[in-house]
Amino acid sequence: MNGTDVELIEMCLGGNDEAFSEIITRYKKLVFNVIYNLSVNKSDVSDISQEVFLKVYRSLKSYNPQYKFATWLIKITTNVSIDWLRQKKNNHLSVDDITETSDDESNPEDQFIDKEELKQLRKAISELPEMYRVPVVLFHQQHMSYREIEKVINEPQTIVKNRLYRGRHMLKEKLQSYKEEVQAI
Amino acid sequence: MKCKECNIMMMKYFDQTLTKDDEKLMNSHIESCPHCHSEFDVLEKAFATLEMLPQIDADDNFELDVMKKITLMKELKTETTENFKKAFFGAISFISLLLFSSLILFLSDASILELISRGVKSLYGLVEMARHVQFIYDVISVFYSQSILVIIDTMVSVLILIGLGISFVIIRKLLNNNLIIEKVKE
Repeated sequence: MNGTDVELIEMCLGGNDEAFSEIITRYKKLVFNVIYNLSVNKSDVSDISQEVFLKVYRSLKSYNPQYKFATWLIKITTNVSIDWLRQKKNNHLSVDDITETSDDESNPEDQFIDKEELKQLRKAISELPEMYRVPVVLFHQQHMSYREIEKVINEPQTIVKNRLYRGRHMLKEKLQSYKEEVQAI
Repeated sequence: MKCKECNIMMMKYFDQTLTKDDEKLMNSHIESCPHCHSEFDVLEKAFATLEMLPQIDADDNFELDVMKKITLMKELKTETTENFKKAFFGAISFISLLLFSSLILFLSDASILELISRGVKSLYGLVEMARHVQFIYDVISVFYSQSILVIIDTMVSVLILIGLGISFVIIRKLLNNNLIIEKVKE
């Protein structure tokens, strides 16, 4: 099905559910990966993604076409993920998820990633408080701009910048301490 | 340059807001300061790795699963709306009957309290309660005017109305939101 996101949303609001299925196809990978990188266990990602799309469907009427659909979608995704993590009260990844790396060895990018560094990074991100984790993941992994993050977390740009600054600082501290631990061994 | 200044520049560098001139200054400090050098390396590697984190794929049937739940959600919503309409019209009929009865009672100079006492008297075990209600009625009718009884009737009717209204709001919220969400989650 062709058409812009806004056209598809209008079709959905007119009762065309196929248009919503197309929206899911377009954005499911983004939603899955944002959830996964916000340090949710892999086994829960699909369930949370379903909850996200159901919430999107129920809230379509409140979508303002002035903003990018992806920004609005990520806002819902981060809110649902954070609620999920809070309900579970266990924000840390399971050992399996921390040690998990891509199985696809044919991907040349993966071969450049040091598996140990990847493990440390996922652990460090999972240990960041949510308020810092969300902007760090959105800026550095999803390449979102300040303006977009501002809309996602509903805070002014100064707070976005401040949280990114502090988030990076905390990440650096954690990674340096892991590095020192490894060197000590 | 002090390490603190370099640290601020580093953050600006990762924000992609650092000017070329400041970048040169930062680089020259990093080359001469092992501490800042190490910090810069850690962050640069971290963000490069973050960008290349393995991506996960969504399930092939994901769209189908979500659409099934949406269909179920719609069906439940229609069913709930129908049930609510039935309950609403039922309640309206009941309230109309109540108001009509109050009017009849008012016109015939009778009272709800008197009727309740007569009704419950016939039930085994409730005689004592009926006696109390009858007593209240007798006291009111002996010592106060009939208009007090009309006020009590009206107050009882209003209290019932408020109770019903609150119950409807709660039931509607529960049926429309939680029940649907929970059922869809299942």
